[in-house]
Amino acid sequence: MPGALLTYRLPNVPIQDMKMRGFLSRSQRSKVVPYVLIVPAFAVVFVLAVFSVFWLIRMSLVQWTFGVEWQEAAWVGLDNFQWLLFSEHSTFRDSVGLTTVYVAGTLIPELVIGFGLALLLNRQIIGRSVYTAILIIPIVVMPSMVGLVWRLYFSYDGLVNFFVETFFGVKPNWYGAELALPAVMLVDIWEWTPFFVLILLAGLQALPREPYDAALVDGASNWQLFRHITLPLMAPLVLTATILRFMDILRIFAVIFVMFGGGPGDATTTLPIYIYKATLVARNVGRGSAVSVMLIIIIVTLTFLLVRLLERAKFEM
Amino acid sequence: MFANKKVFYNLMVLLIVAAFLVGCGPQEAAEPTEEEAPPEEVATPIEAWAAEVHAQHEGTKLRVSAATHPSIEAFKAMTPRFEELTGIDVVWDEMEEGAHGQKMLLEATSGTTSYDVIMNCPERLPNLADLGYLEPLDSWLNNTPDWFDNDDILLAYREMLAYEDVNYGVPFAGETVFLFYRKDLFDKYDVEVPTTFDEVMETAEFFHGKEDGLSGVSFRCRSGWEFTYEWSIFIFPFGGLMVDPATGKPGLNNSGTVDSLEYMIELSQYAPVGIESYSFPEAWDAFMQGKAAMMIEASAAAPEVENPDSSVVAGKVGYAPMPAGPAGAYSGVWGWGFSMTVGSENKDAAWAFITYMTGKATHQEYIENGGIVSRASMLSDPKQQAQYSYYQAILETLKQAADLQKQGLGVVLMIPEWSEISEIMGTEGSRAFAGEITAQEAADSMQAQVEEVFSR
Amino acid sequence: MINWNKLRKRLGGGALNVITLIAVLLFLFPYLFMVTSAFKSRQETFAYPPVWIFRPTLEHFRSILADLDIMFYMKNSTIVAVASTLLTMLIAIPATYSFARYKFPFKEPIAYGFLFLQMVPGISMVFSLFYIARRLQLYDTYLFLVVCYLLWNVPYAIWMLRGFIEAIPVALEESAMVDGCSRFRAFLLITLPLMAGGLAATAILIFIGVWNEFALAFFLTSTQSRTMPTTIAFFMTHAGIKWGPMFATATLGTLPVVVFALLVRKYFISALTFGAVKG
Repeated sequence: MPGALLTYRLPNVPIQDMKMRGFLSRSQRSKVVPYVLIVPAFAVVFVLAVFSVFWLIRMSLVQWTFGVEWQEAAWVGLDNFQWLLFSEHSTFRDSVGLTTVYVAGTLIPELVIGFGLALLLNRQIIGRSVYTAILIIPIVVMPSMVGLVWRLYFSYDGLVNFFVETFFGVKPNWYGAELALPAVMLVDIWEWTPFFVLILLAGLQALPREPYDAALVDGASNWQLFRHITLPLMAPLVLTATILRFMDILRIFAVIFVMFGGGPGDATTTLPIYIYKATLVARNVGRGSAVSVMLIIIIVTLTFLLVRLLERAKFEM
Repeated sequence: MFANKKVFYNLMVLLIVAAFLVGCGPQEAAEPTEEEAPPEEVATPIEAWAAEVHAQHEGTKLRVSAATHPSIEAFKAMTPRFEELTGIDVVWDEMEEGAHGQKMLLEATSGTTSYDVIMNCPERLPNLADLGYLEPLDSWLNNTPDWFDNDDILLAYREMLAYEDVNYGVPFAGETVFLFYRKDLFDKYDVEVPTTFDEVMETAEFFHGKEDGLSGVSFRCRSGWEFTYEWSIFIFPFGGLMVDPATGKPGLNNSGTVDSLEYMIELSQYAPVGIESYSFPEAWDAFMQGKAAMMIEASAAAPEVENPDSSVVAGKVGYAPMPAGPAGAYSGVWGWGFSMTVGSENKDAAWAFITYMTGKATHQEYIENGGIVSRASMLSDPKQQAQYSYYQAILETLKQAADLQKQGLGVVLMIPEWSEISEIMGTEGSRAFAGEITAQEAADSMQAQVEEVFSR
Repeated sequence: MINWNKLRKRLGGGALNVITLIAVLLFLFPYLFMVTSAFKSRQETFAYPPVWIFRPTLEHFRSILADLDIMFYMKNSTIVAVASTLLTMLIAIPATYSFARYKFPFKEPIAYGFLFLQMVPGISMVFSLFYIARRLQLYDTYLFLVVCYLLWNVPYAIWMLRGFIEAIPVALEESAMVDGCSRFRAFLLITLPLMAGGLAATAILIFIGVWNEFALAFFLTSTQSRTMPTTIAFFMTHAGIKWGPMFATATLGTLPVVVFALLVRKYFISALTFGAVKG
């Protein structure tokens, strides 16, 4: 159950068949009520989502570049998909590659640094509450503003180069094709590592003492404690946090759009930016919709797999 | 429970305070402001005209969509007086140029409109016109007040806003591209103004690093339409083609085109670091902050360059027409104008707005507020030329642009597919620029993709 | 032996404390720099090496308040965010209650359905939503934005609130109902107050998410309901990028949220961790 995924403790077992007063027979009502309660939420979400997905699929099967009413757009079946996946001029595969690099290059550092910082904060230090308060800031700052601000910081004479030059003696060109994607990734890491820190810190603080005491009695070293007790106990929370982040990271648009707009060249054209460029700039709506469809499939599949992984981890616990 | 209550109350207080702050802020985006009393002399023609408009259209709300541009700043400064004279309420919706284009296209496609007047440019005109979004202006143009003088607006600019022989826009800001250079630096090192592209390369190399933080040349080349804009200046002097006027087929991989791309790439080594991602504000900033000795950019930059509030090089800049490449010296004409939407319910009021803002009578005020000049009378007026040193360059580059058009070529293809083609050129070109692929590969790829677009 | 350990702990603690401090400052610094830059003159913004000590100027704030009318956009953001949050909670709470307290066929598939339905990327929907908005004459209205945001907010709210509701023992409700309360009243008077922390936490996260949203707000609004994140478009101008006003706007746009989040950080953190933090 989703609730179980995300709370650290197991949930209470809900009660069956509650009796209610009123004119419907009791058992009748209890069958209907749960659905009734869900209807507004379901209706809204379902309508919006299904409509969107349906529209995207419909549009991905036509060739439409403005100029005519959408109903008259030429039907081309799977041509758009074929072009994107196999044509030699298509940069779709590059975009997928870039997105993969982006995801791996941000999730892993965020997780590792986040965990490390959480461990550091888990000790008895003064000012921990101030630290956690400060760490909230990068998470809540507006992404579009963040993008523009970091664009200035990464300029050749910007803040980042000031420190890089002071400590490393080189002054790299972040606006160039080699470093544009790392720049964007660094911004993401700055923005979201605190997310992991806060979640993992809470998890660490909720860990039971007994296994540690027992292991210490047996003479375990710090490293062994970490490897054999902390890590396994934290695994479900780590996975949960990763899933949460993962779902969003494949859809990140604002920061990259504002910082580089997909450039230079194709260097920062991740899948959401690709969709933007195809649909709204090149105005090839068919192609853009096809990319959207594929992106949704990717997100759904990978999240599904991750959730399965999480359930297995909890099960083995 | 206790802690919850406290936080709850804190939240309530915060919300109330926030509501207060928000409620006390000013309400609408544009409101008529109080002006000094109008002069007591006999009403000028414009005031007489305005009084009529006032009688008919007082209280009308006009929605204008614009992209950020110096001329728009000027218009916004002129708006309060317009509102006072005519009683029309003007609401500006201003946004970044790229987003503006997308909004316009989205609007036009969906068949309804939320604006009465829009800012328009030749690149978007075919699409918008084909979608039936724009009001043809020929009949309106026959019906303008005396002080408007349509013929005074430069012919090149008027032509660029016509599509399939129908006039869709009144231009207010034409632009060409010319060469900006630092007179003070050129004098200091006794360097001649380059007249060919080879000389440009040498001069850029000479100045690059000559002084602390100085680069040779600055220009925009952000991936996408910005790259295409800049590159289109280089294509034709090198004998390159976008579309062969004789055959109507794309000529993006002919040797001249490739040469122009390679030239641009070579030139970029004398540009500020990070140029691959420069949008035009950044390119202009580099020059205005004294970090580049030359700039090949739109004439629209000139007023800001000469503005001491934002530019440290104001008064030290010279302007030259475009240097010549192997195939000649050419420039291009772009620009902006106002169009009316077919769906507007306030067309008369909209037309009043357009004529007021672009008319000859207010052109002086417009220029003084930073607007870009677009009228022949202003450009050839010696007094104006003395005051604005770049007018001469504009006139010369207009001639260069006309030379290009005589050959049936232009920097913008007035066809509905232009946005997609421009994006293809801009992306592939930028990839070559950033070193991902070679210029030849980029040109071949562009050619193939554009051929595919044409074949649909 | 014990002394050694204590000593090592103290020294090791010292070094680690310094590392922790530096790490946290690294996260704070870019934001602080942004806020202070809002008070710098244009030349100082571009200065390299960066200027640390300078005479502050309020010019940028004045210009955005007066010329740009930034309060208008703040007002819009507030309206959209508050309305979104309220509407989301109104819709999500009954649904969550249903998931938490009832057992019915297809319960888990529906729950998962919510999770997966909201995975549509915002940017993909811009075009279709734009079209609908125009057809329904709802373009550039608060209502439309708020409804669109429901697609992501409602599943998110359900997901988070479910954990909070399930953490409250059913026995409490049952005992109230045995005493003669209707189910609804039991929920209202007992469960809801106990969930207040969770409600606050969820509301906060939703509010912040909507306040910061960019893609839809950018394309689906024009003059009347533009929100704060879209104002970045005003700063990429002919006069170079107007960094001063941009920093001022960024500060004004993010400061309320930052202050707000800091004030309610206990709930914010518990929101992130779904009640794994006690109390």
